Amino acid sequence: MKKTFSANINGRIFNIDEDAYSLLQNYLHQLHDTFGGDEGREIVGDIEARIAELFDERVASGASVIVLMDVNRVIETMGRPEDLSESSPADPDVHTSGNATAEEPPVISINLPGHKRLFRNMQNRVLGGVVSGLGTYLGWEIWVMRLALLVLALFTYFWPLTIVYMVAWMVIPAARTPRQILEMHGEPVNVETVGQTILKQQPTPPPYQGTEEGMTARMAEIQSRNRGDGLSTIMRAIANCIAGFFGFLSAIACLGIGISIIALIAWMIGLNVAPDVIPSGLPYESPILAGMTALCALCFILIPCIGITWGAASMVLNAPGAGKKTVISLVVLDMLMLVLTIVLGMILASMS
Amino acid sequence: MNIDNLKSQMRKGMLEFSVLLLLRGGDAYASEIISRMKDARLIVMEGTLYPLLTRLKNDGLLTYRWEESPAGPPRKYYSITSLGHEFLRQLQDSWDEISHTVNHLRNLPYMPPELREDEEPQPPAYEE
Repeated sequence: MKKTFSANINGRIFNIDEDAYSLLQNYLHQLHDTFGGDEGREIVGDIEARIAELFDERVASGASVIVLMDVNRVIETMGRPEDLSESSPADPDVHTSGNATAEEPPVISINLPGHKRLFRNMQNRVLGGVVSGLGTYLGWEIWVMRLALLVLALFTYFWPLTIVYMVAWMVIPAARTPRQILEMHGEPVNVETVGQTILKQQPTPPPYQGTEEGMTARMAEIQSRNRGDGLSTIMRAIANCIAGFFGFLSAIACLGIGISIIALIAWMIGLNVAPDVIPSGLPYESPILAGMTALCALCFILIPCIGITWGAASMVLNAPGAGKKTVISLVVLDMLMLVLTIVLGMILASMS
Repeated sequence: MNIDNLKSQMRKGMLEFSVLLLLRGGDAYASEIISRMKDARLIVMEGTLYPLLTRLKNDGLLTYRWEESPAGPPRKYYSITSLGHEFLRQLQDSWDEISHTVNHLRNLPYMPPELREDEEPQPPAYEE
């Protein structure tokens, strides 16, 4: 028994098996990748129309549902994305200079086994998957990578690496489609491997009547997923406990610091930037400037405190945490505060 | 020297020409073009045709209109523009030149390999 979807392909409704649907969707995604831009959209639209026609023929000949084999046949007829990419309109060179293509092997970039691309690993991530993506790219164990970066972060006083991390988070694309996941692991991208990735990605594997090999591989994969070696489970539990303990402590500390800073700021505002607040040694001629400097410095400490407290609270309350954009804007704001503090501090110093 | 590669280059080079020639005989939608190509024993992967049609259209050699079909959604019927006809004429001239050259070369005096005792054995001659 299989689940079926009804899919609208170019204005026609087809009943299509779940696995066939995944494969077709993925094929179309790959075509989108192959033919970029407006022109690409039109081309993929035309191809979809043709696929609808081919399926129509199947339906007319008595098939009540589109199965995996039909999709595979369509892909064979239309051509695999890597075969089509040669005649992609994106590189006009192929058509103008025959020599260049004759000497290069077709499909250079995607199909070479071992050719990896850097992606953020969304399957195994703590924040944005940057570190595990980097680990996958370099072929390191991911926990080694994380530990190394944590140590490095401690030795560099946390901020430089945080900024690097944020930039990496923004710049490096996430591996979302099966194709990207395969590229991230450096595996060749073709319809078979993509099919496997689709099956791996599904949380509940469909009863797949594939080859015997495929079945055995799937069984082994499911078993290994369920087994989860006893030792590693214990280790993971201990690691979670330690992390939880420190997380809890730092969250409490941050909450405390945050509250006291807010109180301090409120007090300063209440006193209308009283000279008392300004540490001794600073010029009294510009109390407002000195007050601003102190305010900026306090905000610089306050923002990460709020962030960490928020994160901890959202984890404890099981609520959605801060999104990527919020985190980034907080970091930017914090940097702004640091810069302001330094600039104002320098002005103050030059006045004295 | 990869013979398959060379063959596919030759085929690819004449694909635009073939599509224009096909459409000269009447407007057609993509599936019709494919079946006409099959009739002409010009076998290409169907997926290569769509980028080609789009490119020809964007270059102004082809244009298309939507036409209702007896069954299913409307179809895209392609036809040649006047620019396309001009382009086709030039391609035909160039094809005639190539074909003349190749014919001329093939009709040059030919010495079968078995008569050349002083040379290395040659690969089999081309089939006529």
